[in-house]
Amino acid sequence: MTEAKLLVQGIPPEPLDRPFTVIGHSISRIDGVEKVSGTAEYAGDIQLPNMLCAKILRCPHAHARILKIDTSKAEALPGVKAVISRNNFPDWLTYWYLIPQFAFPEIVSYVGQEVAAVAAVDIDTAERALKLIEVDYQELPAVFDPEEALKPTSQKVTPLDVPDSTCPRAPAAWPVGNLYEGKTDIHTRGDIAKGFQDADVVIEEVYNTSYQFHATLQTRSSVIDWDGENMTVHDSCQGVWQVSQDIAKSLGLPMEKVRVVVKYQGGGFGSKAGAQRYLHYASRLAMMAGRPVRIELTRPEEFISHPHRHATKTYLKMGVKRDGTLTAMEGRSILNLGVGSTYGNQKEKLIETAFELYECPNVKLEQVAVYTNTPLTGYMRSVMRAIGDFFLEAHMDRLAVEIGMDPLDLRMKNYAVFGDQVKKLPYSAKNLDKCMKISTDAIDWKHRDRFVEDNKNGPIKRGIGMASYMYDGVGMAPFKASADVVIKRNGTVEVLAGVVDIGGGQATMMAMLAAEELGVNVNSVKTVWGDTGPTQFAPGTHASRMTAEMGPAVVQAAANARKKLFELTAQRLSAEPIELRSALGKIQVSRDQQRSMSFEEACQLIPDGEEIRASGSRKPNPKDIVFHTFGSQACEVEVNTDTGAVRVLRVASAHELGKVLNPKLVDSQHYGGIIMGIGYTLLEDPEFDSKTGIMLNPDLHQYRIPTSLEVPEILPFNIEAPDPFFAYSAKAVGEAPIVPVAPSVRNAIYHAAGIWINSLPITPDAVLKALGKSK
Amino acid sequence: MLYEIPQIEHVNARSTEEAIYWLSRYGDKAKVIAGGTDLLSLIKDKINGPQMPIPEVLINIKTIPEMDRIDYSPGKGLSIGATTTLYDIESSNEVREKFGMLADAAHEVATNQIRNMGTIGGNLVQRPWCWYFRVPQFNCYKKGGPQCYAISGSHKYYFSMLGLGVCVMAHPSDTAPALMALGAEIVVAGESGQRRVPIDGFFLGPQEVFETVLKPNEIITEVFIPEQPPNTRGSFLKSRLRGTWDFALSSVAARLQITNGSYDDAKIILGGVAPFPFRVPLAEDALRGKRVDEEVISLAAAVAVKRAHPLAQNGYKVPLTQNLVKRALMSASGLEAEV
Ligand code: SF4
Repeated sequence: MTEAKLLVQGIPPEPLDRPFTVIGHSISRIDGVEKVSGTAEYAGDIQLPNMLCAKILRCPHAHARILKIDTSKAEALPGVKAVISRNNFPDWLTYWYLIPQFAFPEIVSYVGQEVAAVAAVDIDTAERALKLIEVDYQELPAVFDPEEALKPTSQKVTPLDVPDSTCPRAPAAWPVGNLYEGKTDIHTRGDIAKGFQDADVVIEEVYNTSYQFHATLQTRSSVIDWDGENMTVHDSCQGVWQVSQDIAKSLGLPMEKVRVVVKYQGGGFGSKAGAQRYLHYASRLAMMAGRPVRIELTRPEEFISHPHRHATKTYLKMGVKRDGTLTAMEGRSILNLGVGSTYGNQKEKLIETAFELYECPNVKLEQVAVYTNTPLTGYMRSVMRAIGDFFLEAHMDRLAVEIGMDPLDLRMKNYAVFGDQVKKLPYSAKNLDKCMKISTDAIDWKHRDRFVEDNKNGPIKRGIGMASYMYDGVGMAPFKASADVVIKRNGTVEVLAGVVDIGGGQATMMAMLAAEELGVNVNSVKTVWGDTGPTQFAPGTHASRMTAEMGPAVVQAAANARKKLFELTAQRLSAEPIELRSALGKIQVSRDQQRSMSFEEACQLIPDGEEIRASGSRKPNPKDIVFHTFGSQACEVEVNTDTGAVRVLRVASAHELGKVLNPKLVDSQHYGGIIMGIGYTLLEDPEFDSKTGIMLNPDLHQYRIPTSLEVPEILPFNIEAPDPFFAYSAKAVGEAPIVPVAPSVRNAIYHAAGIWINSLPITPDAVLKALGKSK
Repeated sequence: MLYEIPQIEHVNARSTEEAIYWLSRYGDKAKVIAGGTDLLSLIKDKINGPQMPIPEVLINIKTIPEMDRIDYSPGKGLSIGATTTLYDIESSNEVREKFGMLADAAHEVATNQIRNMGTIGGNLVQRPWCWYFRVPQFNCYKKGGPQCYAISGSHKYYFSMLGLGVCVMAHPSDTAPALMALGAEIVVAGESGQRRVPIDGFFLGPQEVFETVLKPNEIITEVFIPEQPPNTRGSFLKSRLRGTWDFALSSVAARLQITNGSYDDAKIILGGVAPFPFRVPLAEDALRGKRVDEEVISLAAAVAVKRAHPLAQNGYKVPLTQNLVKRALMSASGLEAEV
C-alpha cells in the first residue's frame, strides 16, 4: 500500500511504513473471560431500586379489528403502575430503525401483535393484569401466502410500516393491494428473448426458502431508567445510537436525553439492529410510571415478535450454450414481508447476486415484495444474499450437469470481471477465482468422482458440491461513522466508539487498529463502546459494516493522536515530528534508532490534567468503483438413502476480505456462519398453522438450530488482497460465510445421490421423496 | 432471568404412601414431579385445558428413599426405581451388559442435561410432543378440547403413520419400545396398594385423553425387566432430525432369540410412528422359525409397515421405518448391513 486512499474525512493519514506488530495476530477477544466465566453483566441482569416489570398483551388473531379495549380492571389491580393501549395512545408511532410503525393500530395484522402493555411491581401482577384487559375483536380474513396476497381478490393486509420519504429504509408509498410500494423492482440488461434464442439449453426451476429465526442465546431484555427528564436505556441491541434515535423520536424527546448503554450483548445476528417494538412500550411505561421498568421477552415471544429472515419463492430460467457461455437469465422472486420489514423490500438485494456474479449479457430479474398476515421480517446474517445465492448457485450446477460440464469450470467460464457489466465499472478488488480454486482444492475437487464406486453399494452416498458468492461488508450509507482516540498521561489509550460488540470481537478489533497505528501494545488500549454517553455517532453493528466503516475512522483518529504525541516528543528526542516512528510501546527517531523513549515516558510530556484527544470520521465510498467481498465454499456431504438424513462432513471456506486483522476472530466468523448455514439448510423448519397463522414451534426444541453434533470439519481460508480504501485493506467477514452453505450442500447432495432439491430446509422427508421412496 | 413459573406449592414426599396421600387429597390440583423436564416446560408454556389444569401443588417423589436405584438379581431380572435418571440407566454396567437395548434407548433421549434430570418413570408418562399440544392456543382433544388440530393441519414430524383414533400424535418415549421388547412390567402404586402392569397393557390408545393406565392418584414406583434367555440379542435404533435433543421420527426396538442360526422368537416394537409403542406381531411371525438371513429380514421389515396409512405429510415415515426395522434386525442378527 503506497497511496493514501483511506476513506476518511479530510486528509487521509499516510500508510504505515513498517511491518505490522499487532495486526495479523490472533489476539483473544478482550471480553472473552468475563463472558465465559459468567461475570459479564447483560441488560437483563441489571437491578435498579423501585424497578417495575413490564409485560405485553398480544393479539391472538392473525387479522382483526379492535372494537373496544377495557383496561379498567387491570388498572385497578393493586401493584399495577401503568397501562398503555390504543385507548391512551391511539395515534402513537414508534420507530424501528427510523421506519415509522403504528404502535397500537385499530387493525391488528398478525398473531402476536402488541395490543396493550402494563408495568407492575412484579411479573405475577403484570401477568394477572394482562388477563384482566378485555378486548373485543372483530375477526377479519387473513392471508399468509404471498402469491395469494398478490391476487386482486385477496384480503388486504394493513402493514405496520408507515411510508416516510425522509427515511431510506421506509416504504416511499402505501402498498397497492398487498404489493410493497405498489411496484416491483426490476434489474435488466440486454435482450432476454434473443438470449434464450441463442441458448442450446434452457432450464426453468422454482426455488423455495423458508423463514429463518435468529434464536439468539440472550432473549431480548432491557431496563429503562427515567428520572423525569433523562432516560437511560440498558439494552441488548446492536446499535446504541440507532436505538437512541428511535426511542427519542418515538417518545418525542431530544436525542441527547436518551442515553443507550449495552455492556455485553448476547447475540443479535441482525435482529437487534434498531429499537425493537417491545422497547418502545417499556420506555413509555417507564415515563408514565416514573419508575425504572424492566422487560424481557419469553422464548416464544422472541420467535413471534422479532423480525426474521423472509420466506421466498423464485421462478428462475436460464439459458446456456453447450460450451458453457451463459446467454440469458430471467427470474421473479417473491418475498414474504409479513406485516412489515426493516429495509422494506431489501432494495433489490435478493436479485443483486444473480445480476452481478456471472457475466451474462441478457438478464431480467424482478423482485416482488408482498405484505401478508405473518410476523415482521428484517435483517438477519446475509438476509437476502443467502437466498439470492441459493437459487443462482443451485441453478448453475443444474446447467453444468445438463451440458456435461464441471460446475467449477462453468463458473470460471462466466467469471464477471466488472462490477457493472454495462458501464464496465471496476471492482476495488476481486479474487473470487482464487477463492474458488483454494476452496475446491482443499477438498480435492479434481477427484470428486472418487466416491462413485463406493456409492453404488449401500445406503450411504458421498458427494461434493460448491458455491461462490459475493457479499457487501464494505460500508453502507449514510457512512456516518466517527471514533475518538484518547491518550492519557499515565500511558493508557482509549478508543471511544459508539458501536456495539455483538460477539464478533469488534471491540478487540478496534483496540488492535489503534494499537497498531499508535505503536503500542494492544493491552494498553481499551475500547469504550456500547454507550451513547461518551461517544460520537456511529453505525449499528450489522450488515458486516464495522471493520469497513469504523476501521478507517479509528485509524485516522489514532494517527491524529499519534501526531499530537509526536509533536510533544520530538523536541526531547532532538528530531522533527515526521522523523519519529513508534512500535510496540517505543518511540524512535527513524534515522537514529538509538534516540528513543517509551510510549509511557512520552505520555508524561502531556501537560498535567490534560490528555490527547483526536477524532476520525469515515467518508462515503466513491461511486465509480464497485466494492464487494467475495468467496467460495466447497463441501463434502453424506446422504443416507435409507433414512433421508444428510450430514455435512467437511466445508472448505475461502473468503476474500482484504486484510485479516485477527485470524482467530476471522476464523470464528467462518465457523459461525457455516454452522448457522447448516441449520438453515438442513434443520430449521418454522411451522405456522395454515388456518390460524399461529406459530407451532416457537421454541428451541422443535425449531432446531444445530448442535455441536451437526458441526462439520471447517477449513477456513482468508484471502488477502490490497484494497487501500480500507483500514490496512480490511473489509468484512461477519455475515458472508453463511451465504454459500445452502447451495453448496444442495449441490453436493445431487453429486452424492443424484437428486435435485430446490426447497429449504432439506429435511429427511424431502430427501426420501426426491429419491422416489415416498409420496 | 425470567420469572415464568407461577407460585406453586411444593411437597417433599418421604414415602410412596405419603405421595399418594397428597395426590388424593389435592386431586387434579396436584402433579407428581421427579425430574420435571416435561412437567415444568408445560407449566412454563402455560399449557392447559379442561383435562389439564396448571398444577398448584407439586408432589416431589425424588425424596422417597429407594426410588432411585438399579438392582439386578441374576436369574430374576432388573428392577429400576422410578426416579432413576436416564443417565444412571445408560451408564450402568449391568444395564449395558444384560439389557443393552435399554441402555441404548436411554442414551438416545434428549440431551445430556435432560438425561441428568429426567427419570425412567417420567419418560414413560411424558405428555405428547405434538406441536399443537405444546402451544397454549389450541385446546385440542388431549387437553380436554373437542378435536385434533393436527390431522388437518401440520403433522410432518412427531406424528403417527398409523392413524388409529382421534389423536394422531406419535408416542415420544425412546425407552418404552425397548422396555416393551424386553417384556417389562410397570409397578404402580395407588390408594389400594401396588399393582404390576405388563407394559403391553400400560399404554392406552388415541381415543383416550391420557396416554397410560396410570390414574391421577397413582405413581410408578418401579420398572421391572425379567432376565432374558441367554440366546437373546437386541437392537434399538432411532432416526431423528438433529443429532441430539430430538424425539424419534421413527425408532425400532428389536429383540431376537436365535438358536442354531434360526429365530426362536422375535419382538419388534416401533416408536415415534404410532400413538403408543407399536408392536408388529406379523413381522415377528415372519421371523419366527426362519433361518437368519437377509431376505427373511427384508420381508419382515416390509411386513412391519404393511398396515401403515400415513397422514398427508408423513408418508416418508413408511420407507424410513421399513429401513430402520431392517437395519435393527440385521444388527441384532449379527449380520453386517451394507453400508
Ligand atoms: S395429535 Fe393429539 S395432541 Fe396433537 S392436536 Fe391432535 S389430539 Fe392434540
